[in-house]
Amino acid sequence: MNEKGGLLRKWNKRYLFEYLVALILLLGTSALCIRAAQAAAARKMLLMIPPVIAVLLMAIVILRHYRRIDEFLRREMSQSLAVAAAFTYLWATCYGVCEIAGFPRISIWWVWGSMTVVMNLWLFGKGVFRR
Amino acid sequence: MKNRVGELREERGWTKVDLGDRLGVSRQTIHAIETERYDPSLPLAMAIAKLFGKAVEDIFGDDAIGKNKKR
Repeated sequence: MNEKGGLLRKWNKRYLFEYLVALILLLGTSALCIRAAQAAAARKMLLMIPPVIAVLLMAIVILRHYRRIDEFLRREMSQSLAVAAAFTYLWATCYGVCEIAGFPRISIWWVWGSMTVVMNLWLFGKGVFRR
Repeated sequence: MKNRVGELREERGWTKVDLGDRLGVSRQTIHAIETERYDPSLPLAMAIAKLFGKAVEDIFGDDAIGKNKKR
């Protein structure tokens, strides 16, 4: 038997550990890239590879978590992903039109941030993890 | 879908975590099934039935509840 908290806690702990390792790798390699921004073109391209590997690692961590969790949690996660994708698609398209009208250009990183925030807000709002 | 999962679990003195561990699912999933917010897949429903030593139709559906009340 598992201790208090059950399987979800165990899955979440494993997921958070793997995700944090990948995130630290991404932040570290991204910092390297920013430093290399003034370097020669060929070297610059080489230094762009590590963050891409780190992002790939993060995607693998998320997929591993998705396969590990049970059918109900998988359904809830899929729903939250659909809501996050729809919300992000909506504002990104609207803002894209606004940019044509002269609004300042924003980074593509906003899309990633929006997806993550909306997904988690949806899951916590529904109280999936509280029950 | 109406079901007797909560009732059968309590008869055995198990917590939601205990039942979840026995079935390999989370406490959240057990809670969602018991509160009729989630209908389990056929493999999970069969695993629940096997664990309680009953047929699936004796645990899930209006008939299961009706049958139990008659007893």
